[in-house]
Amino acid sequence: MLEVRDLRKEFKGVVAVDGVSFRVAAGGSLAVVGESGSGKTTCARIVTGLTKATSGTVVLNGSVQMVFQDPYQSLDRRQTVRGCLAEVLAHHRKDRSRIGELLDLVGLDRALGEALPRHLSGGQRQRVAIARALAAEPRLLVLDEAVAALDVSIQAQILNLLVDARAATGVAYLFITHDLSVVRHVCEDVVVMSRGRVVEAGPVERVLHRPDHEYTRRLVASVPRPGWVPSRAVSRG
Amino acid sequence: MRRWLAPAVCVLVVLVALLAPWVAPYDPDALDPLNAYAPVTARHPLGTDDLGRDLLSRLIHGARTSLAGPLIVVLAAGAVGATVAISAAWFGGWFDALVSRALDVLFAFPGLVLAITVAALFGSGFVTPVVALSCAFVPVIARVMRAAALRERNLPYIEALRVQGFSAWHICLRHLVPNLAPLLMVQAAIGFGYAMIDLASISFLGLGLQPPAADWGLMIANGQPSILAGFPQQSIAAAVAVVITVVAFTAVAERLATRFSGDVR
Amino acid sequence: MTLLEFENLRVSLGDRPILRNVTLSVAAGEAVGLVGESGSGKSMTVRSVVRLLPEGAAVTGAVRFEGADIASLGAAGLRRMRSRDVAMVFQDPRAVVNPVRTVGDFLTEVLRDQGVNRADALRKAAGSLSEVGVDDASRRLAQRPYELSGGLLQRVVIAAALLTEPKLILADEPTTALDVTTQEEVVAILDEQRRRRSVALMFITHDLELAAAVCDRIAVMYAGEIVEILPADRLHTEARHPYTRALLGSRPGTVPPGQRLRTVPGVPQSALTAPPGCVFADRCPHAEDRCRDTRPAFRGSAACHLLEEVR
Repeated sequence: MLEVRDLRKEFKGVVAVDGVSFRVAAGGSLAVVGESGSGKTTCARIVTGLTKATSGTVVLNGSVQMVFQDPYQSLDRRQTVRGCLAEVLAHHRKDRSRIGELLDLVGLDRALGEALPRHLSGGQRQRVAIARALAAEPRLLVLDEAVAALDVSIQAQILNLLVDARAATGVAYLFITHDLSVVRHVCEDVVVMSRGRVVEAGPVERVLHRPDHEYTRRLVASVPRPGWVPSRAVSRG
Repeated sequence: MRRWLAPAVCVLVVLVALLAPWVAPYDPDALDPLNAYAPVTARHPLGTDDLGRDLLSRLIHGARTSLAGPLIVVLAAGAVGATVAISAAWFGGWFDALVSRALDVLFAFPGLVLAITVAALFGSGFVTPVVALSCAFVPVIARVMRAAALRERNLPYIEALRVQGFSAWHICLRHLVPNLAPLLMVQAAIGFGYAMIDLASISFLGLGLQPPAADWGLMIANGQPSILAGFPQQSIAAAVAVVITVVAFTAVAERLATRFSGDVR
Repeated sequence: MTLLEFENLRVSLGDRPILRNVTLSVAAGEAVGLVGESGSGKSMTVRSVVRLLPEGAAVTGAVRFEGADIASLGAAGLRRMRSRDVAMVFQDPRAVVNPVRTVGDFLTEVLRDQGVNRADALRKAAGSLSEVGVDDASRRLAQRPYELSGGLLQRVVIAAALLTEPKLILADEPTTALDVTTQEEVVAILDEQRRRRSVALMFITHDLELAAAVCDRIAVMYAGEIVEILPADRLHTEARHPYTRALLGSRPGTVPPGQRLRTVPGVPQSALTAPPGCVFADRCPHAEDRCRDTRPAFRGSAACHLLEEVR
């Protein structure tokens, strides 16, 4: 449903993304993981049209929406929850009455419809952002570190919500993240990026448990987990 | 009490200006040569000038032009400045670079000098200095607004609207402008004080309104000979009016600024 | 031997409580992790050690360093403690290091202040840099902060923290802004240096696993209180407080992919908004009336009324 082929992006001569290709099946869920400077966010922005690629092709069947990392700045501070959703629904020629359904879908109390962003917690704001993105009934949702800024207990709520929303709407996810445990939980396939290039790609199960590439191995090894001993030798290089 | 002083003074000055014909005790232009240089009495609370005109009435009527001038300046400069700033921030690239350089160049001209030069070249009066000063205020407002618009434009909520497929027009008018409006208001309020002083200076130099108009800057200038004659009331009263008004408006602007700075989130 | 001791520490700003009740001791050379979500008061707890509290904060209870109440320290004593005995490492190294001065200036500042001559100070600084794994120390000393990556700069900050040979390092989310691979490296260095020098460490993080990896004991904070303290190696087996268990259970990876994560309803509370009894009562799935009304005392490792019932 989304096919990205040989994407390349230069910023003033610096190559941010270099020969990146991946695809997302309808209703599928692909993670793009990498550390800062890996080019993963640039890929997301190219897919959503926020940034123009220097070369390469993006073929997309259907519409795309995006959820951003910072829940505090991804809503217009002057707009109530209802106002925000109504604006988007009107734009996509959808019925206003769907506001209630959308709030239910993302697990927000309907009474919060009149609330302004500053009255909402980070997790609630992120729910509004997801509702806004789903209002247009997109085929693909790009989530750019959408749970990274949230507290652990809230993160779990939002991850459950994302799993439920995909089951309910059939929307596909392109999940941009640095958090491998999130990848394991919500994605089927993963693309590992480093310095603008794809170093490894495949099913999550295979890539994260039997990584082929040295960098993937390092990435997997550096995630704190029970019994983990941090080592400075492993990550050298 | 202190919290309300500055806003109260602003409201009072504006009301007095609006209601001048009704609140002024005399016709501001009524000559009474026999009563020239009248001292402060119950009949003439501020005394009279060299032609026997009631100073309080002139001060009250003078509020009209003295406030209208700066108001027009900040409205015009605010509208043009904000438009220029938002379009520069929105389109970015070479357009933004061009606008920024142009603003820098304009910014290098002292507004007052520009206005004085224009008034000297194209004639004095009310309109010419106001237009010239408006032009001079555009870069001042536009520079601040451009920086704010640029910050705002890069916030995720604007990007989310772009991904939703809203037009640039819709995003700017419905989201960017309303969110920048508080800052614009603060800028205008601060600019108001400066514009008032600048226009008073132009009038003082004789390049603004001409006698017998009652204008605060002009009154300060026209009162000069009387100071030598031992009657400083006219210059002092007009100068005090300018100072109080400017201080009150600037204080309100500062207050608005601190209030809105907490409103960013 | 106890190095640092918090006893019934309460901090409030006006009538807003920030810390409700913190009792904790840190032994010399011990590493204690303070784990909790936003608003739990973990930063405020470590800041109270060096009296870096907001203007007008009212403190009751005591913080004792080497047996002396910090509140009784005069300006000179406080300055001495801040510059020699206790070092701090924050989340954002760029906010700590003066951007226009060289790394060498930053590292030698405190030593020079203590009367060490320039050549000795630079030599010690270079030594400290190589100990935290920064190669080519002499070149780094001449560089300015913008020339260094975040991970490298955080190592410079750790080197600076070690230079004065402190007895305690307070690390407030020192790796949160770093990539995971860099985090591993920085945490490994911190751990290694701490053990080698037997420096005590208070390590603030929201990541339970990370805390478990570098600390001896873990204190879990919620809404301005410590709700559970337990040995790091028994985190998974012996955590008893419902909040600790909720935190452990809500990480993806604890359940098979696709299954629902166990979540806690509601949002993290602060000391101001938490219920009067047990701070976790309004989100706890097991809460009873007494939880809402009476504050639970510490029994064994956790402050909870229901330790026996909830297993």
